[in-house]
Amino acid sequence: MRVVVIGAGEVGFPVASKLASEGHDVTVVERDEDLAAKVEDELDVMVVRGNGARPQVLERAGVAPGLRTDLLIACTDRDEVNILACWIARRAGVEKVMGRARSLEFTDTDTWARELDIDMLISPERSAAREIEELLLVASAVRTVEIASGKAALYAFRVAEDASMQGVSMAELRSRYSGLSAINVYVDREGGGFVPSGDSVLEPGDLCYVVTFRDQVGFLETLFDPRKRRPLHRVLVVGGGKIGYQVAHRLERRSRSIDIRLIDRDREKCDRIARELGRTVVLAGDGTDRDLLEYEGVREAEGFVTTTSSDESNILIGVLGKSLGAAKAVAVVRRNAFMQMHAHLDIDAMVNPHMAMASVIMQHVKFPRASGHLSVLESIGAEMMEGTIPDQGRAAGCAVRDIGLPRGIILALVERGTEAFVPWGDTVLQGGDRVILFSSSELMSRAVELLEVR
Amino acid sequence: MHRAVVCKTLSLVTAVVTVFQFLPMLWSIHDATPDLNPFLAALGAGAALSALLFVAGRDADPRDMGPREALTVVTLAWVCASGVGALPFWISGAVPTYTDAFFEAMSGFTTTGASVLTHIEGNPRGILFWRSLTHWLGGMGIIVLSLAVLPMLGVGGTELLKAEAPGPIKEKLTPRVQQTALILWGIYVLFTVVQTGALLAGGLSFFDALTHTFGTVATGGFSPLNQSVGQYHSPYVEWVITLFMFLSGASFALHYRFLRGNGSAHWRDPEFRLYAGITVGATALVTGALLASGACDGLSDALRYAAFQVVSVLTTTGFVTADFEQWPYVTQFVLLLLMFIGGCAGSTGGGMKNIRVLLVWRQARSELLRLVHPRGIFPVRVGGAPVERSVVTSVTAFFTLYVISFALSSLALTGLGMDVLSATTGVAACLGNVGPGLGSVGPMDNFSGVPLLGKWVLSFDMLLGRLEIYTVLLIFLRGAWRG
Repeated sequence: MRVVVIGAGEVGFPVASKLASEGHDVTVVERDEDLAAKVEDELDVMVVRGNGARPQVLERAGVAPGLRTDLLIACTDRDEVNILACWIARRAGVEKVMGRARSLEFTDTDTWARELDIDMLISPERSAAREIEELLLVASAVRTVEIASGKAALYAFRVAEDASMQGVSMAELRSRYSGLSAINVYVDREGGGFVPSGDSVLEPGDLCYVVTFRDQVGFLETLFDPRKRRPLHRVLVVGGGKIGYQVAHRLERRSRSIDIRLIDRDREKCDRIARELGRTVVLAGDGTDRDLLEYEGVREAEGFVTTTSSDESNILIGVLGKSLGAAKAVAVVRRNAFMQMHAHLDIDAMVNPHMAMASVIMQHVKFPRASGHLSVLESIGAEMMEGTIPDQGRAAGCAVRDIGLPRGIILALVERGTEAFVPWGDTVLQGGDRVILFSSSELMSRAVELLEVR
Repeated sequence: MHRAVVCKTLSLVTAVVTVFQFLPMLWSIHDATPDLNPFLAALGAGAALSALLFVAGRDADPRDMGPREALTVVTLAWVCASGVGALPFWISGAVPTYTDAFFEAMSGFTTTGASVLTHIEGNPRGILFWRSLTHWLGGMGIIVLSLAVLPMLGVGGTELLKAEAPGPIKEKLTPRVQQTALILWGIYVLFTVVQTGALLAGGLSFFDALTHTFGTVATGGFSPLNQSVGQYHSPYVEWVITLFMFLSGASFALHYRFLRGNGSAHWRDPEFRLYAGITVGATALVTGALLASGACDGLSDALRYAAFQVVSVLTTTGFVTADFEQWPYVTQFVLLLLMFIGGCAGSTGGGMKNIRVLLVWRQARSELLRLVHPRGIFPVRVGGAPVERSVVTSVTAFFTLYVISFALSSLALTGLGMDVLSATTGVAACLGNVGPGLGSVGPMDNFSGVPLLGKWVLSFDMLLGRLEIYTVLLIFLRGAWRG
């Protein structure tokens, strides 16, 4: 596939890198000489220097009528450039155009994307803030991925030393808690993860990826970790960028009883966000200032979120917050190398804002005909995909066990009309069912093929 | 300072005010009273002044109208209007001295309603009508009126509008300033027509209905009757006037949005909510005090008197239906506090305005929060929306200037031999454009006993209050006259 990526900043670079490594022909348009040189040195892609919102520059990159470009991804940090680049590409006959939108109003609903004739407008900051909010609400979750338009989600829980479910087989658990609609799709264990089967037994320290409904997650949580968690009363956010702002804004709307405090070093930025936010107490100070954190009640904080632009700061400040008594530390981490270090750091959860953008792009590249969302879980090499079973397909009218899904592919959830449930082996699929598939990255194409999901 | 443009604009404004003197002449002609000649004399004097100013500013360039010129024009326009408007009172002999006449005219234009006339009903109807008409002209603003009727003021009109409009945050309703002025006057005229109709339906004569309406919608307070509105002993009339005083004390921009179909415009406005809350709270308190002390018997009477007096003082109208000096002390003090608060920004009411009270209160809250979180940043918000820091600072300074004006004027009046109660409440009533104070300037008395010099001090206070201090004080700054 021929792909043009506009902007090689913190979003564009990993996207270009991932696409190139998957074997696509990638052209990167970048205005900044340093970044352009870096892309040329490190990635096997073509680089065009210039402003991605100018037709001549785009033409050099292969965006013009007659030149076959399949996909354009505009991910500079300026909405105007992204939208204009998408617009030019659309007129030049590029089949798919996607843009990054930092201004949140563009991604509040999909109306703007439709009006602008852009296939997908994505706000990585918004996705990250959404995930952080969910992580704060579900106190013991280490990761969450929203599915089925928010009705359900994938949660990662760590099995505690005193968890009631350890040493019990999955089959036994299933019969013991038959009222619970949840499915354990993956177990990440030191020395190798696996997809659990009926006779798998959980051990303390296992990280379990569970798909369940929002209204059941509270109970499910107690099975993994019976310790009592305080409800969310105070959250400290370090870093007043887009993500920090979004987290505070979402928590403000979530409940009046949450006391939110946001710390940023930049006084002017503090002035601006203090005016934009409502109840949040905005503090101009250094997140590494121990006295400030203590004075502002980090000890009583149920949530401690670090969202500065530096991964290292986020991790270190997160560890500092934990050491000062915060119940849960969530750090924004953009580099995969750091994500993989989670077992060695006293940080409860890490959120990668680029993952959401990468997921959407990979979905369009790998499964261009699918309508649902793809979520890439890079840290465990797995993917989760939403899709619809076609009416005349092979899978319609077939029981799940008869489809012959290879081991490693799990049908996690079925949405039929207004109801949603976890399917069993004897569940008969129908045309029009929305399904959630979970699988390792290599097997996902096979799963999509077998079920013919759209 | 471009003096030519100032003179030319002043000439036009003076002409507008002078032309309006034709209206009371109609009553004089109808009644065949001897006040026709004074009006003709005043008309001549006004025309002469206007002509003189026009000649002085004949080669003015309207583009020279900057903030300094605008502020000067507005202040001087009010002085000119009062100077010309005072002539009928003086020449007709309704008042003994020109000082009294000027005081009466300034009180009229600034919609204060403080009077030096001892026996009001003894005056011819032409004079009384002119007295009430000054309220009506000044209520929405002499400049706004001139802008509405004279398109040539359009250039630089925005500066003029800003300098005269009450309230800390100025907004135009429409892109063109003349259109804004016309809309404001349109709503003002609408209120006038509806209220006059309602009062006519209550059995008042056309003259009485019209003059009381002028006093109400302008939140002025001049009544052609010796005992003000109370003389009718009509609950219907009192409630109608209460309602229209309340409406006139609220922002006309809100009324405009409401009339344009935004049904929740008032309720969404934080200033209006405060204004309504203060009205209800103060009415309840005064009603309770009246019932408890036995000053009124029966809830409906107490409520009517309380609501009328609270709204009258809060909107800075100054009509009276009862001698509140006979009421319990607590109610008198409540009324005194209301004098300082006043109406809403963008209304015809005076005082410090509810929005400023709200802003200062919010700022105090921010300062307290800053003590709890020394590193915290707490923008001052009104209704969820942050307010520019420059606005907050200007409002705080306004408060200070208001208090200083109050203190210095009171000092001057006591220095001239007035007792403390009369001096302080008289100043509060004039600075807030209310009208009656307490003591020797109470609701059943008037300002005729104030020493000569004191009347000039109070006239100045009325102007300060109406133009919200800054506009007036500017012309005393040396820097304003340079360049």
